[in-house]
Amino acid sequence: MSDRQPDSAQHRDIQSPGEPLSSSSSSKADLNEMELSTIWNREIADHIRQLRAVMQTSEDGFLSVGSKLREIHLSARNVSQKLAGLVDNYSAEGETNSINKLRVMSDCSTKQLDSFNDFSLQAVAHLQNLESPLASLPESLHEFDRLVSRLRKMGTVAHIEAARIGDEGLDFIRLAETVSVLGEKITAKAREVRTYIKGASEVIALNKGKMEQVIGKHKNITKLVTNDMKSNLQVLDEKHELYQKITSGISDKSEDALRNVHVVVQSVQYHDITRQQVDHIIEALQSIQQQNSVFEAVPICQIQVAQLRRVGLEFEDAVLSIVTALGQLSNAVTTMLSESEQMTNFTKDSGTTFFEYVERGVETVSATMMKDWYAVQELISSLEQISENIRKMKSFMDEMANVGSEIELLALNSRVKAARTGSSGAALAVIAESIQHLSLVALDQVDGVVKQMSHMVTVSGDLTNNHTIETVTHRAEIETKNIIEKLRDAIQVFHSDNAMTIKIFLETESICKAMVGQLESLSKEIGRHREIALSLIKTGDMLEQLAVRTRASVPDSARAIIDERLEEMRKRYTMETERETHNAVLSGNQTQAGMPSGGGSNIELF
Amino acid sequence: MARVIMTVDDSTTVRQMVSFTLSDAGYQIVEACDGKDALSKLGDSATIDMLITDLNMPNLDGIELIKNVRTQPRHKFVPILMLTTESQETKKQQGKAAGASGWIVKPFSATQLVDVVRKLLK
Repeated sequence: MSDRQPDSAQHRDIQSPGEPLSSSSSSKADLNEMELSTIWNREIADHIRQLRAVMQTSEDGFLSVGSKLREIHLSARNVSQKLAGLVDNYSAEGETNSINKLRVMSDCSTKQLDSFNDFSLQAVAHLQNLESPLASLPESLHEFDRLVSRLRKMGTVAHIEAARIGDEGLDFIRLAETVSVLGEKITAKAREVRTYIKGASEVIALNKGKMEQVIGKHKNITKLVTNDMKSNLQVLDEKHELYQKITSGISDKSEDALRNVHVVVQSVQYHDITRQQVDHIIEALQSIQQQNSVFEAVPICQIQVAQLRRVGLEFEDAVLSIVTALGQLSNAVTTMLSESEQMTNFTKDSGTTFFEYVERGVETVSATMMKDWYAVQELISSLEQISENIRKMKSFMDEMANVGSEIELLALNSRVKAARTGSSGAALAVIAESIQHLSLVALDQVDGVVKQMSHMVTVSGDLTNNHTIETVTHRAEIETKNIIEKLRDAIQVFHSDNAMTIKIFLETESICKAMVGQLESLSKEIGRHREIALSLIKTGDMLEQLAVRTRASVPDSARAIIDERLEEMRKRYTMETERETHNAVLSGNQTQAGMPSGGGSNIELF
Repeated sequence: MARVIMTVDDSTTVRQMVSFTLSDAGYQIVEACDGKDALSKLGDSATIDMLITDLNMPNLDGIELIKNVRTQPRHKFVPILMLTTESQETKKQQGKAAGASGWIVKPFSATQLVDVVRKLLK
């Protein structure tokens, strides 16, 4: 750069830009002394003020932008965190997974229903074991009745014969009467036994019928209920997978939105870069005012015009790129909003309806298990009653046996007495023998029946007094109630999970709606900064006009020098070197400025 | 306990962005608007784990700030990062000589800044 120091002794003003100089002032010495007018400096000062005002407006605007971006970032992060939490919940395995809970309990309920089925089959088999012997009892009793009837007839015959032989027959009359009375007793007991047989048979038939019905129905219900549960679980698995997929998708979009916010944040830094560049330009323009020489002022001014245009265009690009990034972010958020709304509706409608369906299925299973439990209780109670009946029947048969023995003894005594009586008692002796024989046969008959009944007592005792059955039924009661409780708990967990999903998506919708509004307003606000960019370019245009006017007003030789200076400056100056050069000029040091460093990474660690 | 980072820049927007990026990454941020404000906030006893400063600032520029901070025994070895629009080698050498640990030319990306901070704080 050549040394051109202003010489105040030979000062000559350029009156105003655009005014031609007189020919008398076109000497080389005069060229050396071409200085700027105060109007020139005033115009420069105006432009500097304009630039400062524009950048201050921009600074204020971007502060507001920064705050709004912060709010949007917090909203995006809020959404991202909520959705990530929901995705984790859906991915949970093992006990925390409500579907697994339901699946486990469903398996338990199926096993429980099957165990009831097995128990019912066993019970029916037992009833059948009692039924056959019980059915054969009336026949045995009928045979017994005939024997007793014959005994009583023999007693009548003995009575008649005894009366015929007179006083010697008195004992036999008593025998006959006793046989008659005892015969009636036996007949009465036999009637009671028949009543109990009938009662027991009816109870057995009723319970057998019930159990067979229960087993028949139970098989169908168990099949329906377990198939229903299986298909519900399958649908639940599918829904779960779908929910997980959709939620993950929306969650991924929220992560993208978060990244987009960071991109916008990065773009906002261009404001600061522009501010610093404009500061450099202002310093350069100030140095023109300090120098006051047309040979420095005009080239510097033209260099700054180019810089201002470049900075203005770059700032405009930055603003447009921010607006574009905001637009992309807005699209992403709108998509998230739409998908969240869809998910909310999906969860509310089909989700809730379906869970009600599952709940009904669970209640059906629970009701079936409880019915089974009550049926078993009833059966056990009936079996106890049957057992009691059979014990009573046995005791009656024992009594009948005793009576039979008594008759037999009487008959024996009568035989002995008849033998002592001689020929007149011969007929009575025969009758007494018949009575004795009949009573022995009757006793045999009773004995047979008693043995059968003892066996039935043992069988029914096994069934009702068996400790295993008690334990099984007691455990079954606890197990049934436990399963029902856990099934209902699993459904409650579903309802909670579903409600939480709906809540989170409603919150996501609300946040996204707010974000869309904020982004629209932010986009408009940033869009206004285009005017800042245009303002910078316009200032550049006005500075150019000033430079052109000034150049046009000087002689050709001065113009040539100006152009030479401009070419020199263009080759060597950048924003950074310009700054240093201008600092050097301001401080009176005209040393060369350094060249800027080349491109490369923007990070360096020492 | 969160590490404390001081960010010094005359641009409020830049301070906002740095604060925003690093507080999200779990750091506690203290802001200062120039070198003088930074020294006043550090005072005689306040301690920071890292300093991030611009170069060109009114009142006290970045280089002078670094020289001052390095005279404080408690901050003799604290990492110092220059965050500036300047990319000239001479400037970088000046920064390094004054005691800077690293140099980032604006604009910075959030990921870059967080990575560099984490590296320097290790």
